[in-house]
Amino acid sequence: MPGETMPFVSVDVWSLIMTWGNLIILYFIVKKLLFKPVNKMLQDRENEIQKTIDDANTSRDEAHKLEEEYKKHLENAKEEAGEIVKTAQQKAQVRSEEIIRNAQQQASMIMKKADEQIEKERISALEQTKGEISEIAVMIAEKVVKKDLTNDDHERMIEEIIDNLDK
Amino acid sequence: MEGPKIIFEIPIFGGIPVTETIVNSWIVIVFIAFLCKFLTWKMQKVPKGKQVLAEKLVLMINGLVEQTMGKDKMRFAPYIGALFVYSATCSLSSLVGLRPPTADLNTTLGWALVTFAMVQYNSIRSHGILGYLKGFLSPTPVMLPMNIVSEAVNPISMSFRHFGNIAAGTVITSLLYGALAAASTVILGWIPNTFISTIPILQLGLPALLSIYFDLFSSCLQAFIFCMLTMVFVANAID
Amino acid sequence: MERAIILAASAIGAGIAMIAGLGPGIGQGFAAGKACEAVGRQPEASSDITRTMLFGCAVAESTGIYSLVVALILLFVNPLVNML
Repeated sequence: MPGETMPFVSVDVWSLIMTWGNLIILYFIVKKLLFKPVNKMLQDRENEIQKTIDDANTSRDEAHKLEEEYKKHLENAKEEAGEIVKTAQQKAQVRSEEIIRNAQQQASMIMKKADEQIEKERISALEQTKGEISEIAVMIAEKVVKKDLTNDDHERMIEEIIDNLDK
Repeated sequence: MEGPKIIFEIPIFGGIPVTETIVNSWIVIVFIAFLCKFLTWKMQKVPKGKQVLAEKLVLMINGLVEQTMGKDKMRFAPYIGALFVYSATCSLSSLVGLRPPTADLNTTLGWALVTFAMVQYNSIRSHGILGYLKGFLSPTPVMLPMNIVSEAVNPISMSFRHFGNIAAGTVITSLLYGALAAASTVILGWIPNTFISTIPILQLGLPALLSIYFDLFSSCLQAFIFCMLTMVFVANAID
Repeated sequence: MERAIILAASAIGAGIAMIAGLGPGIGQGFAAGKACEAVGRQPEASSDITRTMLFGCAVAESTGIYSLVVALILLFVNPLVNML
C-alpha cells in the first residue's frame, strides 16, 4: 500500500524487475547519447589527424622529389655550361689558329713581296751600274783614244777601273 | 532506520508496488539522459568546455575496459560505462537529499544478477555447453559443490558489498544527524523559546565532512569496484 | 518480556557482529602500508598502485561489510522477533 515502507534489507521481485528495466533503458541512453557521438567524434578527429599527417608526408615526399629534380637540373646546367665553355674555347682556339695562320701567310707574302722588290731593285741597280760602267768605259775609251796609251797603261787602267767598280 | 517507502502502486497483477528506490532511479536516469545530451551537444572537432568532460569520461572508461578486459572485448564498454555512471550517480543522489537507490538491496542485487547472467552466458558461448559444465568439475569432480557455491556467491557478495557501503553511509549519516540534533538541543536548551531551542544548529556544516567520505569517495569507489568486478568476471568467463 | 529479551539479544548480537570490522581494518592497513612502500620504491607507478590498492581494499572490506549488514539486519529488520 502507498505510504508503507519496505523492510531495510529485503528482496522484492517487482523492484528487481524494474531495476533491470531501468538498467536496460540507461544502457541504451548512455550508448546512444554518450558513447556513440563521442566515439564517432574521437574517430573523426583521429582520421583527420591521420589525414593531416599523411598529407604532410606526401607533400614532404613531393618536395624531396622536386629538390632531387632541381638538383639534377642544376647538374645538367653545369654540364651544359662546361660544354659551352669547352666549345667556345675550341672555337676560339680554331679561330686564333686561323688568325695566326692568316697573319703568317700575310707576313710571308709581304716578305716575298719585299724580297721580290729587293731583287728587282738589285737588278735595276745592277742595270744602272752596268749602264754607268759602259758610260765610264766609253769615257775611258775616249780618254785612251786621246792620250795614245800603251798596252801596259791600258791594262793598268782597266785594272784600276775594275777596282773602282768594286768599291 | 527504515527501508524505502512505497510511493504508489500500479494497479495490475494485484498492485505492483513502486518504491522510493525506483522513483529515484527514474530521476537519476532522466538526469543522466539530460547530462549526456548536454555534454555531447554540438560537438566540435576542437574540444571545448563540456565536450572535454564527455570525452574524458568516455576515454577513461574505454581505457579501463581495454586494460582490464583486453582490446577484443571493447563491446562491453558502453555497458560498463552505463553501470559506472548509473551507480555513481545513484549513490551521489544522497547529496541532494534523495534516498540513494543503491542503498536498497534490490538495486544492487539486480545489477549483480545481470553480471552473473552475463558471466554464465559468455562462459557458455565461448566454451560450449559441455565445456561450461566441465568447468565446474575442475580441477577434480570432488570440487563440484565448492565450484557451484563460489559461482553462486559472487552476485551476493557483489550486491551486499555495494549495498552495505552505501547503506552504511546513509545509516551513519542519519545517526550523526540525530546525534547533532540532540547536541544542539543541549547547547540551545537554556533558551525558553521552544522554536529557537530546537534549531539543530550543529547540523549546519559538520555532516559535510563526513559526507565527503561516505557520499563522494565511497560512491565513486563502489561504482568503480562494481564495474571492475563485472569486467574481471566477464573477461575471465570469455577467456 | 520475550520480545524485550530478543531485542536486547539482537542489539548485543549486532555489536558482536561488528567485531568482524577488526579483520578488514588490519588487512587494509597492511595493504595501505605495502602500497606506501611500493610508491616509495616506484613513485612513477603511483597511480597504478593506488588503483590496485583501492580495489584490493574494497574487496577485502567485504567481510566487514557483511558483518555490518548482519548488524543492520539485527537492528532494523529484527527477524528474530517475527519468529515468536
